[in-house]
Amino acid sequence: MIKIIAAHVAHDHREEILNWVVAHVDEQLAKPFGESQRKPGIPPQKVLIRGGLKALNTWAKGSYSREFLKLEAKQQLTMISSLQLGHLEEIKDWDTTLQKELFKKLLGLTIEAYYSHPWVWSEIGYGGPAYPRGYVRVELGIADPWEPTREEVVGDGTEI
Amino acid sequence: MERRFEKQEVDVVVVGLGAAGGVLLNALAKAGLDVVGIEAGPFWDPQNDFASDELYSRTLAWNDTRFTTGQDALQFGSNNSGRGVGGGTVHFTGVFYRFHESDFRVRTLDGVADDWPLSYEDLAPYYAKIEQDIKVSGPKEFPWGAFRGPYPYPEREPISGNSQIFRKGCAALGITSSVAPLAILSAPFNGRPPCINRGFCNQGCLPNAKFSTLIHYIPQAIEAGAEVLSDSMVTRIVVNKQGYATGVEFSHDGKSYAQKAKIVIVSAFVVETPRLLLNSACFQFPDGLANQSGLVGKYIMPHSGHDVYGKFDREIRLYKGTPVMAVSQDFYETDQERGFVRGYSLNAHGSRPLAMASLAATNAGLWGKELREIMLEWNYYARITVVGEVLPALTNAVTLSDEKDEYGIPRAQVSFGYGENDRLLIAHAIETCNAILEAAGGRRAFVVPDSAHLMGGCRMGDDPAKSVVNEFCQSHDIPNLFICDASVFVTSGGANPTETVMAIALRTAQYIIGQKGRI
Ligand SMILES: Cc1cc2nc3c(=O)[nH]c(=O)nc-3n(C[C@H](O)[C@H](O)[C@H](O)COP(=O)(O)OP(=O)(O)OC[C@H]3O[C@@H](n4cnc5c(N)ncnc54)[C@H](O)[C@@H]3O)c2cc1C
Ligand code: SF4
Repeated sequence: MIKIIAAHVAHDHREEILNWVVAHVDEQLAKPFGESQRKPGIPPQKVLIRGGLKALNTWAKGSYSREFLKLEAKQQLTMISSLQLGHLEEIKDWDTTLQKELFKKLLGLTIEAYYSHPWVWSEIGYGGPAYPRGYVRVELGIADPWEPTREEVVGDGTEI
Repeated sequence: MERRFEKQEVDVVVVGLGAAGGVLLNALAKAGLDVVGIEAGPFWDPQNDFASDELYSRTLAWNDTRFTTGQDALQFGSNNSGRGVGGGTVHFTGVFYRFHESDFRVRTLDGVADDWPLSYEDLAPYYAKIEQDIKVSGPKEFPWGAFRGPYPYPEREPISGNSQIFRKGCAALGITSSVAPLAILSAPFNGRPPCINRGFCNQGCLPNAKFSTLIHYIPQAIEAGAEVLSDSMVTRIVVNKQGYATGVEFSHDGKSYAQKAKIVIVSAFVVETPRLLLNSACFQFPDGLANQSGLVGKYIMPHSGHDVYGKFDREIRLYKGTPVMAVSQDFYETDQERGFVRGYSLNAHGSRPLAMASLAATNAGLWGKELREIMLEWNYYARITVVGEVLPALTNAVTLSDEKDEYGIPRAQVSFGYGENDRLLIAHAIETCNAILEAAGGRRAFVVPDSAHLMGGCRMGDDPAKSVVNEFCQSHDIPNLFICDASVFVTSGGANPTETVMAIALRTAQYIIGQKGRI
C-alpha cells in the first residue's frame, strides 16, 4: 500500500525505485531512535502510519465500497489529495489535524527516499556528491566533463 | 569507559561540544585548567563517518523526538541541531558573519526587545581572534557593519552560478552585494586543503576544508590536556546545600556516571540547555536551575529562513559549489519607511536534490506531478535564502512535556509563532528576492517557508529579574554555573549566528581564566 501511495506522491511508477522507497519507509519505522519532532497529541510515526493505512481502507470502503488498493488510480489520487487538506470524513480518531499529519509523514518519507535514488539523480541532471574529485567548474554555463546533462524522460514532454 | 578524572574534581566541566563548547574547551585547557568536555553524540571521524549520501548524513543531527507546537511550529532534526563532537558546526554551511553594532541596542534604537548587556565593541576583539584562528575567507572590503575587512584569507573565487545570478540581479537593481565571508578555506591551512566545491557542507565536509570545532579547536584542546567523553548524555547538574553546582551526572552505554567540577558550563544549544536546567530542579531550586527569573526556556528565536526560487532559461545547477558564496546586507538595519523594524540578510543559497524536494514537499505542500515537474527541471532554478531577524516573545518557549525519553528525562516541548513585525519583514524580504531574481532574467517560481538557527532561551542581561545569565554567561543564581551557547542571545540579529556564539564563548573563557580560581 505504501508503494501505491508513493507512486502517486512521487508521480512515478518504476518498480525498482518504488521498492527502494518502501524499503526506506520500513527502515524508518523499524529504527529505535527519534523522529526529530512531533506535534503534541500526534502518535509516534510507527503508530501514525500503521493506523493511517488501516484508516485509508476504512475511508475507501466508505466512499467507494472497495479497499484502497482496489480503487482506480484516479480515485486513489482524489483520496490522497483530500488527506492532504484533512478533508476526509472524520472517523474515529482521525480528525482533520491527524489526517494532515499522516499525509505529511507519508509525503516526507517518500520524497526523501525518492530523491536519493541514483536513477532519479541522473534523470534530473544532478552530478552527485563528487568525492574525492570535487567540482572545478562551478560558474554559469560550464560543466565538468563528467557531469550528466539531463536525461530524456519518457513521457515527460519537456524538451532538454 | 576509560576516564582520567573519574575520582577528581576538575576545574571545569563543559556540557556539549558544539560551536561554543569547542571554543571553551580549547581556551580553558590551554590556560592550564583541568577540563572535561562531555558530549551526547559520537566522536566523528570525517573520512569514515561522513557519507556522500544526503539521507544517511541526517544521522549528524539531533534526532531525538521533540514536541513542536505553536502557530509556526518549528522543525527539528537536521534543520537545526547537531549531535556529536563539533555539534552544529559539523553540518553548518560555514557562512560566517559578525553581528552589527545596532544588534546589541535594539531597545534603545527601535524601542522593541531588549538591549544586550554587552556591546559590539566588547565582542570585536573576540570576533577578530576567532577569524584569525580559523582563517575565515572573505572579501578585502566588506560593505556592511562595523567591520569592513580584510579577512585573513582571500575571498573564494570563482563563485557558483547561483551566486553569480544573485550578484547580477542585485547589480541591476542598485543593491550592493558581496562574496560571502566563510569559515571555509580558500587556501591550505594546518594540513587542510582548500574547498573543492562539493557543496556537501550540510552533510559534513569530507576533505576537511570547512571549519568545525571537531577538526579545529577540539583536537587542540585534547593536545593541551582536556578530556573528551563522547556518547555521554548529561542528565543532571548536581547542586549542593549551599546552592553551588558540584558537577554533573551523565549516562554512557546505559550506565550512570558522575563528574565533579568546580565550574559547570552548559553549552548544549537552545533546546537541550533549558531542558537540562529545568530537569535539574532540586530542593533548593524547585523550578529548575538558574531559573529564579522564570525565564529559562523563554524568548527563543529562529531566523525566518524562507527560500525563494526563480526559474531561468539557462542552467544554474544549484548543487555546485559551496552552498552560500554571495550575500547582501543592504536591508539589515531598520528603515522606518518599510513599516517594520530591524531587517535581514539575503544569501544566494545552493541546494541538493533531497533537501530541495523534501522542503518543497513538507513546507510548501508540493507533491505528485507538480513536484516531479519542478524537480525534472531543477537545474534551471536559482535560489535566495532569507536570514530574517525574529523579535523575541515570551510565549516562544522550551518547556518540559509529560513524556519521558530513554534516559528518563521529560522530552522538550517547543512552542513558536511569528509576531506581526516578523511577518511584515518576511513579506518584504520575499519581495526583494523575487525582484533580484527577475532583474537577473528569471521568473518568479515558488517560495518555501522555512526557518533556521535557534537562539535564546537563557538570555543574558544585567537585571537578574529579566535575564538568566550576565554578560559573561555566568548564571545570576548560581555563581559557578555558566550557560554559554546560542541560548544566551537577547535578540537574533539578521545574520547567521555562529561567529557571535563563538566570540561570546571566547570572552567567557577569558573571564573564567581571569578569575584565577576565585569562582
Ligand atoms: C543545516 C544547518 C546549517 C547552518 N549553517 C550555519 C551557517 O552557515 N552559519 C552560521 O553562522 N550558523 C549556521 N548554523 C547554525 C549553527 O549550527 C549554530 O548556530 C551553532 O552550532 C550553535 O552553537 P552552540 O554551541 O550553541 O550549539 P551546538 O553547536 O548545537 O552544540 C551543542 C552540543 O551539545 C550537545 N548536547 C546537547 N545536550 C547535551 C547533553 N544533555 N549532554 C551532552 N551533550 C549535549 C549536542 O549533541 C551538541 O553537540 C547552521 C545550522 C544548521 C543545522
Ligand atoms: S563545498 Fe567545500 S567546504 Fe563544503 S563540503 Fe564541499 S569541500 Fe567542504
